[in-house]
This record gives sequence, C-alpha cells and structure tokens, in this order.
Amino acid sequence: MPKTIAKAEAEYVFVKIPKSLLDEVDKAVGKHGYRSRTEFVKDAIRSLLREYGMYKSEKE
Amino acid sequence: MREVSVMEVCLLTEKHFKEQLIEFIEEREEPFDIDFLVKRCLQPVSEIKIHDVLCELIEEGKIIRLNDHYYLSTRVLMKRWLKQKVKKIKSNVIFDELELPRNLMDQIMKLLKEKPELGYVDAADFIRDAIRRLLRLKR
Repeated sequence: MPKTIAKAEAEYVFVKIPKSLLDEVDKAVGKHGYRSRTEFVKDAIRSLLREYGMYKSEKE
Repeated sequence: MREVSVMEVCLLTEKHFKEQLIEFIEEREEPFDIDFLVKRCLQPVSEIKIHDVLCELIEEGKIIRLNDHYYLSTRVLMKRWLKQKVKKIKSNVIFDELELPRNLMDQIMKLLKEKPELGYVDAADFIRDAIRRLLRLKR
C-alpha cells in the first residue's frame, strides 16, 4: 500500500454529529462563504479552541 | 449541664430513625414493604412507627406508594425514568459523519484533559458546542 495513502488516512478522524445540527450548518455554509460543512465545523472548533487559549495552527 | 427531657430524647430518636430509614431505602432498586423494613431493623421497631415515618416521607416527596403494600424511593424512580428518556432521545437522533483533521481532534482532547471544569463530556460534545456558538454568531 502506498505510504502516502496510509498517512492521509491516519491524519483524519470521523466524528458523529447530529444530522439536525449539520442541516443548520448546511444552510449557513453558502450564506457565509464557506466551501463545505467540514470547513465551517473546522472554523467553529478553531474559534472555540482559540477562546479557551488552546488553539495551535497546523503550521506551528 | 442541662438535662434532656424524655420528650426531647424521643424526638431525637425519631429524627435519627427517620434519617436511617431514608438512607436505607433511597438507593434501594427494588420496591419494599413495611414487613421487609421491620425485619431489617436491628432494634425492634413497630410496624405502626415505620408506617408513620413512611407516610411522612411520602408527604416530603422522598418515596412513593406503588400500591397497598409496596413503596419505592423517588430517587430510584426518577433515575429509571431519566434512563428510559435518555435512551429514547438517543435512539431518535440521526447522526451524520464528518471527517476532521486528527490534529484538531488532538487539541480538543488535550483541552478536555487540561480543563475538565469546562464540563464537556467528550470531543463530540465540544464540537457540538463549537458549531452552535458559530451558528449563533453568524445569525
């Protein structure tokens, strides 16, 4: 198996989110310039982590 | 030193008995009757006395009468009801899966470990809160 694929799989995890909440996210996605629901959720997580003083960007 | 009257001793003993009784029955999962409690008392206690205390506990909302004989603590009953309710809610929720970078998940896990006082149950709980906050902000 090519190493890059194995590495890519390891860098992502699946999380279960209530569909009703993601439906709301879907509505907000286009309206606020996000490309996908994943991008919106990632932004939400980063914002809250930042609020708690715990966010480190991937570049760090 | 003040002498304790017989009346005071009786009231004290009664209060103590009531406390011991509620302590014994409030976590009891199975329904109980007066006969069961009489047999469980280390010192002889009359059925009438136990009946009276049980009536007081019913009035205080600490136990309920299931039928002519059996009683159950309100705490146990509430626990059962909540368990069923939570189970029902969980089974009604439809989930969607979302792919997130492990790096972000690691940071969430680190936060949950370092700041348990925030009250998040798990990473999914944190993510749901984060989504709701951003949705509110964007409204």
